[in-house]
Amino acid sequence: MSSSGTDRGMEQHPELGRLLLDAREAEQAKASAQLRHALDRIHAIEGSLRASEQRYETARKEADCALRSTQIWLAAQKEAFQAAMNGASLRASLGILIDTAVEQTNGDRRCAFYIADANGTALRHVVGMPESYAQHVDGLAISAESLACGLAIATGEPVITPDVLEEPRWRPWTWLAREYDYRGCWSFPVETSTEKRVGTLAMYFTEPREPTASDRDLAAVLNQTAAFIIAQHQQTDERTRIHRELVKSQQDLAAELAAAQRLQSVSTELASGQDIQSLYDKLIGAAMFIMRADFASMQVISTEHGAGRHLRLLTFHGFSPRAAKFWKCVQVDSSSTCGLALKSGQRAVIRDVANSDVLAGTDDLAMYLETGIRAVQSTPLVSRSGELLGMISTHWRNPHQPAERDLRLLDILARQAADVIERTGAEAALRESEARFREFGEASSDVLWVRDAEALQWEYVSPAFETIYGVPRKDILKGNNLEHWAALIVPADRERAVENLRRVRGGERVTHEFRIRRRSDGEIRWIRNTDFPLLDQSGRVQRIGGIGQDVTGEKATGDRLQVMVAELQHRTRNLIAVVRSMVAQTMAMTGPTEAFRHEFNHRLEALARVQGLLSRSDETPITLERLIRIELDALGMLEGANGRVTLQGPSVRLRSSIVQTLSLAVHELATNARKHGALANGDGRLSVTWQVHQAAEGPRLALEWIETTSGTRIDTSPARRGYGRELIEEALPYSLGATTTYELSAEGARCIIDMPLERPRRKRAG
Amino acid sequence: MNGRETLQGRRVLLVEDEYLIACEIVVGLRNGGAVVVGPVGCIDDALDLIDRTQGLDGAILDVNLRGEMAYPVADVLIQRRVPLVFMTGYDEASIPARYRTVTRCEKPVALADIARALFG
Repeated sequence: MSSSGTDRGMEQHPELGRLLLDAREAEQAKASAQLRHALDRIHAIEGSLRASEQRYETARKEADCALRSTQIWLAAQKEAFQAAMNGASLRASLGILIDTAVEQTNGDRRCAFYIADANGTALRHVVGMPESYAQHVDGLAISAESLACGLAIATGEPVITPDVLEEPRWRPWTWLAREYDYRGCWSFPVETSTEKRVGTLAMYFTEPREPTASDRDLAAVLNQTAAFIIAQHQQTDERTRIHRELVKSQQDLAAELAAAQRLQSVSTELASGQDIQSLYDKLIGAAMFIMRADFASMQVISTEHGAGRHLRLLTFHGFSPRAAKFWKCVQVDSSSTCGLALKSGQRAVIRDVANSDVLAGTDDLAMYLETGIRAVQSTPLVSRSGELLGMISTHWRNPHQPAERDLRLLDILARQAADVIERTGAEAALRESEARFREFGEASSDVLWVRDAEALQWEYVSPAFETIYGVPRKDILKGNNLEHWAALIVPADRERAVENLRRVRGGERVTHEFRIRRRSDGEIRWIRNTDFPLLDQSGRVQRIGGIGQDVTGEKATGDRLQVMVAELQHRTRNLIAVVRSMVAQTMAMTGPTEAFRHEFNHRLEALARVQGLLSRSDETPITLERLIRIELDALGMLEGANGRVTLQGPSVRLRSSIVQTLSLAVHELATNARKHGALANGDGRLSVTWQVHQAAEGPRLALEWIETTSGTRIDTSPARRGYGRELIEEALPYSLGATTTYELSAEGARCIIDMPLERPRRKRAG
Repeated sequence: MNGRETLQGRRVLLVEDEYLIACEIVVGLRNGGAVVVGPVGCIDDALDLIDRTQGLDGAILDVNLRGEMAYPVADVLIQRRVPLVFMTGYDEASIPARYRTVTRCEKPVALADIARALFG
């Protein structure tokens, strides 16, 4: 609008118009310049605006990008964390981070995580690189001398190797870098919030490369997250481990409890009197249970069959018949564990028979393998007094090292097994001895019996009872058998017989006789009972044993014999009396030859005395001194002798077969001494001395009969050379094998008799 | 008596341990004309004598020689077919069955009986 005003001014004043024109032109130019300037400015502003817009756009784009990246990272972190929390493996959790990192860097690198082992001495690949690569680097040492990740974790600083081909430490590993096609290798330590280095992050580049700040940022972000995940994982691991241990220890406790219960139930079963074999089976059953074994066996020490000390198989579980036969009898030199344990007295354990030096090449090994046994232990069974009684063994199909805890429980079982063996061994011996006793009892014609000491009731009565007492055993054993028995005894003997049982109960041994009325036929029988106490281990009278013998016949025979002996003696003496009277009567008829009558009568009397001595010789042994004294006494030579007669010598017992002849000889010597010799007058002396001496064929008696007188003339007339001399010089040598000397001198008679005391042994066989 | 004739010249062994009895029998035998071999009082001596003597015609044996039975002597005599008699106080039942054929004379013996048993 302003221009239209100017144009009208120029039309009215040309000059002015020009001027105006000029001016207008000038103004126009100025304005144009100003306009141009303004335009320029506008352009500039426009440009700046545009730049601003562009910058904004870029910034917005960048922010978007960053936001997106951050969102991706957050998502990745979240995913990784969740994975870790949900118990995913470390590989899976960290794998999420690796994948994200590779993706976010547009695949310009490879990334991998490594973690340190529990000791912190070596690294293990977790995720990122191929398995084949991992195999090469697993176990890389963590140390200041190491390289890459091993060095990074040792120092706690990133180890940046822009080009592995340039780094001397890499020299041994460049082949690997070539094979897996990388040059740049960066390692960043992963540290937890507690500054514990748990692993590393590695980045690999195909070309040599230095890290930028954003590379380092990326590594930092990755490692922060990884540290978290690894820590989380380790905690989970630890919790899992603790849980597992808890479960294991609970299981162990349960097993121990079960084993203890088994032990207890076995003890209860052992206490109840079952048959031995089932006790043995229970013991090995418990042993298998405690040891969690597949086989078991039990043996006892034995010396039977003259095989020396060996182990005899009592029972087994799982053995084949061949194996049972093979180990039926194990000698001390056997290579089996039981043989070893027998030799050492200690438990023997072989955790793997196939790798045992002791077993190598032995038959035992072959049998173990044939039976399917790979592990075995043998535990000695020792009595409370320390004596080795047997062995309990358990076997496993697989190599096995028995746990200490199990072995301790087994020891408790072994203790009980030893008790069982000791008890059953003693029981078996007892049973055997009882069986033997019973055999004796059954065979004996005497009544053998055993009473309990408490109630005095019969526990055993042998069959002979039925014959002797005439009562069936089943009847007598009913009810109170002491009373039944006592009722069979005749009343007069009853009380004493029962009382004798009580004496035996008091520890005495009693032999007594009593009469019974035999039930079967009412006959009175004499019983001789020998009753004796049977002691238990503590010396207490536990039972009373007895042997009852029917001695009715024996007593009758004894009585008869006594009558017979008396009768015989009577007859003998009667006979002699008859002989005597016949001699007297004969003499009366043939004329009185007084001298004959006198001497003959004396001899006959001497003979009668000898008969008396002999008939009593069972009760009163005949000694030499007694024989001499009886003769001297009969002739009245001892009474009032005032020491003129001395007898001296040891006590010598004479055989009855020599008594008669010797007696007659002494009679002749004494008669002569009294009639003609030293004792005929008041001043003579008689000394009879004897001794026993040993000769080659046996003991001999040397007897000296010495008469001495002083002043009195001794009659040495032929009258003294008659019958007495013949007896001494002929009969004694003939009948008794004696050597004799008989001298008569003025001083008196002197007779020496030397004769064997024992019957000479036959020189020749009949 | 017949005994006298039958004993004449016979060689008779006497085994008797009792001296007095032996003497009595010896006298009787000699009076009967017999040749007495012995007497002896124990088994060993008797066996020795049998060995040393040729042509025994008979023997008289006391069964009990101081507690020893004279059967070994009897066995030898029987084996040599020498007639013999036992002198004994024992009754028949106590002599072993194999000597049942041997004549048994109870003490005190009558010589005539012995002579008859041996040579009759």
